[in-house]
Amino acid sequence: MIKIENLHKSYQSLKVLDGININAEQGDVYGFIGSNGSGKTTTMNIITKLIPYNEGKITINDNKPYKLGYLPETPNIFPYLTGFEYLSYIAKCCNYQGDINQRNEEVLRLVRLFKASKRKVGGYSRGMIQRLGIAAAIYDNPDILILDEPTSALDPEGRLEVIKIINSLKEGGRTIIFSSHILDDVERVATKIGILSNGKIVVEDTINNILKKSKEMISYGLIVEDIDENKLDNLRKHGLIVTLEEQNLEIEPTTKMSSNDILKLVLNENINIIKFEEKRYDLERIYMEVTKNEPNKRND
Amino acid sequence: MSQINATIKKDLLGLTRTFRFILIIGIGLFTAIVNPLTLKYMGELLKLLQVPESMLDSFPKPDLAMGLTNVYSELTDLGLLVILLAIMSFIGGEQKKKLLTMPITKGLTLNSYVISKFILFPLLGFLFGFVFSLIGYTISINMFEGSIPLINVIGSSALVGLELMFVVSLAVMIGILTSRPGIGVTIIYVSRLTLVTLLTAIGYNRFNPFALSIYGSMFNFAELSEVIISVCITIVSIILLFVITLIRTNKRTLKY
Repeated sequence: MIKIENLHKSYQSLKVLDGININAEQGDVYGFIGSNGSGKTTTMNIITKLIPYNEGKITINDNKPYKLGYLPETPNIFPYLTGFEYLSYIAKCCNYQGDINQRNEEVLRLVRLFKASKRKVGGYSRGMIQRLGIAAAIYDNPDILILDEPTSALDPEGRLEVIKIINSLKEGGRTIIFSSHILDDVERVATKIGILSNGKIVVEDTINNILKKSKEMISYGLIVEDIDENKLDNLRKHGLIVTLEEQNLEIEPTTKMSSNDILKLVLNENINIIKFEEKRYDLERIYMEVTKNEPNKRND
Repeated sequence: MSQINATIKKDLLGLTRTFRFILIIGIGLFTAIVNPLTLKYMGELLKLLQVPESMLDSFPKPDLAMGLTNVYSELTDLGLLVILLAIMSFIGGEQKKKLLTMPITKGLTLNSYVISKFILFPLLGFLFGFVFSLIGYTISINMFEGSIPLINVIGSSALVGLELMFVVSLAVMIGILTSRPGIGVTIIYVSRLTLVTLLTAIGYNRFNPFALSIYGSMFNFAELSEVIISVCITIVSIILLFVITLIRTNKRTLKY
């Protein structure tokens, strides 16, 4: 549905996208992850044709006609119009052929704004504007829906509402590209994930594959006493990556080892264990791992 | 066509639902009513300020032509400034605030957008100049001595309207192409004032779209052919501004 190959984009001397590749099939909910300023919005603006790109190839819907819905990170909406009037304007923009009043009511009910639809947008809360933006984006039942950080500026309740709406939009086989740096939200919605770092896509896989791999990536966190550098070196000889910060010992096995094996090795070194816990890799840890070399994550 | 109508309707709602419409009507009425009144009672006002009698005698006695000229001058000066300030959020301000991102991704064409702006706002400028000039005439005729044929007053009011239409068109072009309507308004207002003052000082203000109201102030249209040429130049200039805006926006220079 959306295939991006070797996409490059620079703003003067600043290289934002350095040959990214994205492949989102029909029906995918593609979670696009990256830190602030990593180029997510730039990529989305290029897909929506709002800005040009320098190099690369973008194929959308095999070059057949398609309908697009886009929700910008901050959906600015004419404050003097009511929600209903704004949607009527959007209907004219997309040359909607059906009954506009009926469609307005449908989408307003879907985003739970029908009661507020006669009020001016200038009096809406941030969450209501976000939901009106979603209503506008989905107005003409687009084949592709692009949502840029739809939950980032919302309170937990607002986030939950938007997540519910996005989940309800999955039906019908439309492709959704959804960017966020709130990884919990991505995990709840996405079927496929792409992680953008240093202008490149460093990971692209289905959420199932990523979480399956994460189950194999386990580390252990311990609070310990009676430990010194010699004991740490001895642990390292068993193929463990070991880091110590005050009493907090972090152990990451490089080969497959059970928690019992780890415990035995630690106890053999006469280290007193106060607390022991198994840490499974979730999306956040995977993200931190693959983006740890990003320039803006270093302290320099 | 439906996109053009919808955008015009949206802008009209934006104008009438905010302070902008009241501001435009208010300044128009103020100019058309207060100016002739001030001129009429200027003598009394100056006496109150204890201006010497000899100086008061040097002021000519105001008549209908003077009253109207005063109205035209204010409409194309203060009136113009207020109109430009009132509409600037619609001509470039929308792009600056990224209000167009969603409509454009939903299919609003740049042509429809530009056409709608070039229909509504220059027309608003024309109506403002024309209507309030006529209101100024209605007030002045009951206040001053002298007479001007109604057809000449209508012609003069139309020239005031056309001058405003030209300046507003220029503001629409600069606003849309730069997304910086504030800077556009300042440049237009200051450069127009400087240009007209300079050209008037050297006695050469012929065929100048910025100075059509000066022809209007002559009322007798003695040099009708010159007025007609000036009107044609102004209309062609407005069309050129529109075409330039269309061409430039189609080259993706519009920032939204």
